[in-house]
Amino acid sequence: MRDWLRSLAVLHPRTAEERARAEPLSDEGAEYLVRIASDGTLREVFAEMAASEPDLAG
Amino acid sequence: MILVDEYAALPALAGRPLPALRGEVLALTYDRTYRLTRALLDSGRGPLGIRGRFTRLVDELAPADRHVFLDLLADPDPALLLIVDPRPLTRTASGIQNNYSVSMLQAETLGAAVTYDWPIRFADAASTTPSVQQAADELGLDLATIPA
Repeated sequence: MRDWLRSLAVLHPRTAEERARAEPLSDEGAEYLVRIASDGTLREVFAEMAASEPDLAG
Repeated sequence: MILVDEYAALPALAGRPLPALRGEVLALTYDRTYRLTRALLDSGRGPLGIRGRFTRLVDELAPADRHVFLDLLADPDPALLLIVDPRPLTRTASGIQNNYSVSMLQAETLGAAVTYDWPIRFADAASTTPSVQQAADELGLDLATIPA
């Protein structure tokens, strides 16, 4: 668990070149993200989060 | 620079910005970045042997796309999205939260708008709660909802 949590840290921002070389999202992934932002799915998750953590409401 | 909610930031990060925001540099506060990261981070199995709380969003995203997206969110192209440093806003957000019935997340957004004179554009009408609207009106902020 600790190793996994340490692996999530972003200690060194990418250079512009590294950012340009990064793999793009697939069309399916991009469409999914756009969809959950507008169809209420993301809002439901945020509401669930806020139910126990009211400072993340809004 | 335009302050946005996650419902506007997410399409932009996916390379499909909302029409009203095309060509604009967006700003997302730290709390909103944190909330969005939590919603899309696969928490795996914790010490209790159960999966994270919000994995229903994660499960529909291919692992490669999840990795790409979380990198985009952690370190976005500055020409596209700025993650707002919360430290300069701590006292302003505290002052707002001591005067209006808003969450820390909302206070940070309002505090960024007050401090930097940035307009706020929310893509979800629910982001503009009555308390947020009241604070925006009384503080003279440019707050509007844009079509998703």
